[in-house]
Amino acid sequence: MTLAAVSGSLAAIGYGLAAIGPAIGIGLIFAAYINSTARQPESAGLTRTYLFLGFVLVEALALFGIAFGFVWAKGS
Amino acid sequence: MSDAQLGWTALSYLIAGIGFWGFVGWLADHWLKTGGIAIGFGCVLGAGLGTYLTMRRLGA
Amino acid sequence: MSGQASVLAKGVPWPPSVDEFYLPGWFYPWITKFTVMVWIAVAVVLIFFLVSYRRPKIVPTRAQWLAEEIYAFGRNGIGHDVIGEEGIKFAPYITSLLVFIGVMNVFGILPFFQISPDSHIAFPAALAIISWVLYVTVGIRKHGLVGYLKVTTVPPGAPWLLYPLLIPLEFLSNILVRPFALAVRLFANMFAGHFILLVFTLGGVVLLGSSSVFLKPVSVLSWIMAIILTFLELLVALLQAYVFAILNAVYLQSSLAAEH
Repeated sequence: MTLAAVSGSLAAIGYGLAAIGPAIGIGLIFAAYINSTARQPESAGLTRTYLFLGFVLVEALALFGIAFGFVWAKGS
Repeated sequence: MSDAQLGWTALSYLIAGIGFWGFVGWLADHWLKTGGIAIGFGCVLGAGLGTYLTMRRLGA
Repeated sequence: MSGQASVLAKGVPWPPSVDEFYLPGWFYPWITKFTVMVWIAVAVVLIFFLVSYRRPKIVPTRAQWLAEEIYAFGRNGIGHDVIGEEGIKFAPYITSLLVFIGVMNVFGILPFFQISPDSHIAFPAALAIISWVLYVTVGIRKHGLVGYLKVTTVPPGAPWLLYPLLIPLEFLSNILVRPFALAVRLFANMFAGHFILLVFTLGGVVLLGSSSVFLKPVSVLSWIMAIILTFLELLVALLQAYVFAILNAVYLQSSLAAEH
């Protein structure tokens, strides 16, 4: 006997959970860049490459979540 | 050869390459009944040959 | 959804089907709109660099200066800074990737095209496979097959008891996941960007056609969001091209790294 049931799209919950990690990661990366530039402004140009590289690598995981949300969605 | 002429010549090499070899691919497909993949091969081959010809003749 | 069709212009196919991607006529199904877009991108890149560098002058013309700046960015900014002296050899490949992917991504916001070929997994997958073959071949050519596997999979400075745990992990991460991540990163960025623009634009249209008169002005807000997101999409397009090129350089550098 079913006591309670939750219906709807599981992929939506999955994407919501999957977005937590990359959000924290991107916050950490930009915080590190801002901190390092505030301590030594001349290094801003040197570290900008790593800023973009790190941002895109972490953002990729968030976007995997969007893409796989559609791949694994169950029909309705 | 002026620059604008050069641009149009390069574009014509590319379009002619794709068009001609795509047509050859269509003929091969029509006679061999391969269901269309020969057109694809012909177009890709034509694009590659057109690029090569452009680089050879018009490149620095 | 079909109730809102009266708001759209007559003759606009709604809702769109898969057939919208194909060209009419006897090209079906081998030449799609994406095929033509990729050919146009190749023609634009080829003709721009050809025409602007045809007769190079000491004091450059504007087009020559732009072409030299773009090539210098790929050669020095990415090839030399990331890989080192051997990176100059790969500068043409890296700059080609940068410019070609940049042009294809910008098609996503250009008025007549409005979708990037990179939003279908096939095109980024092909580019990622070419990059994978390149960095594995370069690594094998420098270290030999066993040597390359050793450099790639054995992490330096780890206690050798952990090797059975670390080696499969490094193998998976360096040789299997890298091309997959390259392709899906580019694909997902372009797909998501296109999707968000669609949501806000069509949301504005649907709000305009709503029955409540208080919701109609909200469609203007939705369209303003769409304009802001178009600028963001331009930034993302160019950034994704830059990151694809620089990740290729990083993987080439890790293949060319000296033995440790």
